[in-house]
Amino acid sequence: MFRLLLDKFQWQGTDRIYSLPWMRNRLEYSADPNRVKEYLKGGEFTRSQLTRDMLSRFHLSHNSIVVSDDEHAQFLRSIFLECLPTQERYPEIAKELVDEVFVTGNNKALRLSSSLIPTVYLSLLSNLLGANVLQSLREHIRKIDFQPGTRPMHLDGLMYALGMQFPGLGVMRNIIDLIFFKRDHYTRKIAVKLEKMVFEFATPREGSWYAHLIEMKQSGKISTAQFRGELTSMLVSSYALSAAMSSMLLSLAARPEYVHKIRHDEAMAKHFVNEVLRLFPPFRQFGYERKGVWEKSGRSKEEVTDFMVSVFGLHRNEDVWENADEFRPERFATPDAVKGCKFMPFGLGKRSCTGRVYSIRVLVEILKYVCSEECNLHLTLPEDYEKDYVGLPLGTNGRLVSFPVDDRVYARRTPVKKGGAI
Amino acid sequence: MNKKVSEKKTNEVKPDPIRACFLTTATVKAQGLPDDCEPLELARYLRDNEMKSKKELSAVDLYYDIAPEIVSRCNDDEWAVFWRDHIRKITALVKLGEYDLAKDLYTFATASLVNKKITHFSDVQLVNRVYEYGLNGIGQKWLPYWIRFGMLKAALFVGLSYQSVRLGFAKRKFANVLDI
Repeated sequence: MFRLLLDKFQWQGTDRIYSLPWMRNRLEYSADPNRVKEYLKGGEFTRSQLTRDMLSRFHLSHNSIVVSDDEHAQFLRSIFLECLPTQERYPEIAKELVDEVFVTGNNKALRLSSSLIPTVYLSLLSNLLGANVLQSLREHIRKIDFQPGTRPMHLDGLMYALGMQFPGLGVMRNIIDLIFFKRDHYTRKIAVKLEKMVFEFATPREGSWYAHLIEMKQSGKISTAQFRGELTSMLVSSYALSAAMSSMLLSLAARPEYVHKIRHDEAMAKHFVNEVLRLFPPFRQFGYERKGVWEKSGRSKEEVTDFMVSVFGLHRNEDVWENADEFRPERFATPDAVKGCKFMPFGLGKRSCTGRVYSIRVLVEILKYVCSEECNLHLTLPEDYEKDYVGLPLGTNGRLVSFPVDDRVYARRTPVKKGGAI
Repeated sequence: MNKKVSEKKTNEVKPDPIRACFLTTATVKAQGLPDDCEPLELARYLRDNEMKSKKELSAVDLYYDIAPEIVSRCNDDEWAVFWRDHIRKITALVKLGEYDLAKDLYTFATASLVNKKITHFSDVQLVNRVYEYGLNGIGQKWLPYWIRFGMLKAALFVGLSYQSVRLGFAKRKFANVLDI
């Protein structure tokens, strides 16, 4: 009943404007690339307060780059980007990750999301944060049952409309989670524990993002809360990256003909990843606002304060994507395939996803390795797999991070004999 | 053992760079760190360059007598706690150049393990060795073992309680570095 009620508010394919009489917000929800382009024209926009409030109050990302103001985000972002691994490191990172999840000789059915999250998290701690992960932390992460959250975004919207983002109502938010959304409550609990454990059981590598964060915390350039926020953003990123990776591997299992194509055409791996991100964006919406919209005197009641882009709707908009529901990576082979605000899996502008470069490179390298003879991995979907009408995986709707609804896959990996695959 | 003899003996002890740093080595190994990792290098630096007084050299001497036994009686979980509560903080303090506090913390950490791991009533030899160092061997010849054992345990309890409070306050100055 509750679910049905929430589903009534889901995006139905038309652009809408929402507002509540007791709120100053006027929220526009759009999946039209021309409207997106018009709104974001001139670059005078930022991540909306609504998005930041919802992320920081109802989810895991507290006080990190994601939810901080523009100036602070820009300052951290420039340091972060300098700490990214060199391009030559990505094949190695991808290989380690795949070898960890798909063990040779271990031919069994896997639940991709829960297998990937801890491995991706460890990989991010090591390669993106730049930490030496000590044994105790490694073992602790391996023991955790990472599960994607269950609380619908619509409920977050409703809670926001009722003013429940205010810090004083934290106890009530916790009670709601404890009663109705135990998994979210559990995830928040493990996130807090992991912040502490990462600090205690991970040592920074010289010049790494982690070393910079520690130095900034010690010199007072960032607060302890911001420091903790950045550590938790690694966990949030591992959820998002695992969701994209799961969708990618399941799509590969659903379309095995691309294994051969990717093996013989490296550019195809990039197109395949783009197509997966188009059909299964891990974040299905991004929120923006014009800079200074809240301070503006004499603002008309009709003026939009929050502009939400439905990434899922945008990516499946039949007006801009030919046969939008069809899985066709070749559509990205044309040079202007992503022009015109119609493809934005990582958001747009200065507040786009900070880990965008890292994520794309890792996804492409994983795909190349999985399709290689050296890896010798064969992925197949179970017979009773839950597919959409074109035979692709289904993504969960209305959650902050969209994981595949059914993430089961059979992984068969046999050792490679010298001179080729067996 | 005669006090003078004991002093003479300890004066002869010089820090040996190739001697292992038992507790730190066991801790970092349990955490999967290599032999040349930073915590171990800094612990060696602390031992070889910052512990040169008679008292400190004597402490180093005792350390080498008892540490192997401590190592043999601890498991990986205990080393994880030792890392979290002590070695991590000592490393950070040495990096900050706070050698005195780092030394005090290392001594406290070792004494805590001594109290917990190798001063049981049945550990006669080890109890005698710690008693000789900690209580200067007072009445070692004529006091019954059970009295000396009781005195040592009481001294360890008082000393560790005092140091725990003192170091707790001293560490507060570096809370920004040591804690999250």
